[in-house]
Amino acid sequence: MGRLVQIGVLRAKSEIDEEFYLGLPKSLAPWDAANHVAQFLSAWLEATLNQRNFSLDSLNYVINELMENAIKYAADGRIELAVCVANDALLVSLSHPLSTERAKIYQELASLVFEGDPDVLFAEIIERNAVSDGQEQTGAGLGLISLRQNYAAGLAFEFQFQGITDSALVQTTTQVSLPWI
Amino acid sequence: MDAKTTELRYGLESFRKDWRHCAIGSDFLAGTHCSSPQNKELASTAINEMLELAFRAGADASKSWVQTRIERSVMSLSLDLTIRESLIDTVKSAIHDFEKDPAGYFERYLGHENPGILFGLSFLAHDLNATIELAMPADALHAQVHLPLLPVPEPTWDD
Repeated sequence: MGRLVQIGVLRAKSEIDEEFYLGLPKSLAPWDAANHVAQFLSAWLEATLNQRNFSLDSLNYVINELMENAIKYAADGRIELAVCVANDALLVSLSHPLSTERAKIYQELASLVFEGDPDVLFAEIIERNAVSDGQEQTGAGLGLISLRQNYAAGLAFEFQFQGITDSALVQTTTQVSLPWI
Repeated sequence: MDAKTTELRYGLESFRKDWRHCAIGSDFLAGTHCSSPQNKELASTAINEMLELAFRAGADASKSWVQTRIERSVMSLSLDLTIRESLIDTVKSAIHDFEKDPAGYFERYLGHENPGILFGLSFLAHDLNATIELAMPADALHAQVHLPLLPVPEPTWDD
């Protein structure tokens, strides 16, 4: 087992009942798959969580953000999405492999988003984008920041480094907890 | 896990709260694999029958898995679930009846008020030319369906 880096604390599977799991190869996840998966999960939750107050728009946004990141940056392999209903929140976890190089970038970004003030970070990125000739910076973390800023979401990240060479893949998990309204 | 396989797993208790899950899940999985409307409809029909079987016969505390993949115009579907205790004998007997002649099973039970637990799968064999394998070690059911798809061209960005 390789090195494990955690940013925040992922809720353990033993602590919660996993309600839903979807695993699909990246090759079957074209760009519109993010919206496709988000709509599917919203429909599933709407039929499942009729006793709880919950914003389907929030879930749609979270799934879209996570899936878009996976489609953009994941290495070839499986994208795995789990949604769990816990007492205090709805937990959305997305796992996929990343190249070592991309994993290092994502790890730095995750630390920044996890530790920083979302309002300050958001303003900084908007300002940077404004002075870069309208060329929006990709991978700046705006999506993750907006999860904290606009949806009061909790974030946690895990990076499982598989080997010591640069060509080895890193299994990455991002977990978003959305508190019940 | 095969690299081309899509897997959908529900906590069965939440799944069985609402019949709509069968249609929602089958439409989603079919859309993941197929872009042509004709094949999407075929695939969705087959997946829906699998999910409905899980809905009817799955045990409360268990989980059910549906796996789908397409290879050379054949969609392969696998369903694994634990059968509810009260239905174990019924399902075993239905499998015995079904295996003798899957398409004939459909004709025998067509029009019956209570057509039996495997009627949906027999429809796939009878009307959609699917081959179906069923195995039931102890209280677990494993169903495998191979569904031939239509040789329709997949839409391109130019369409």
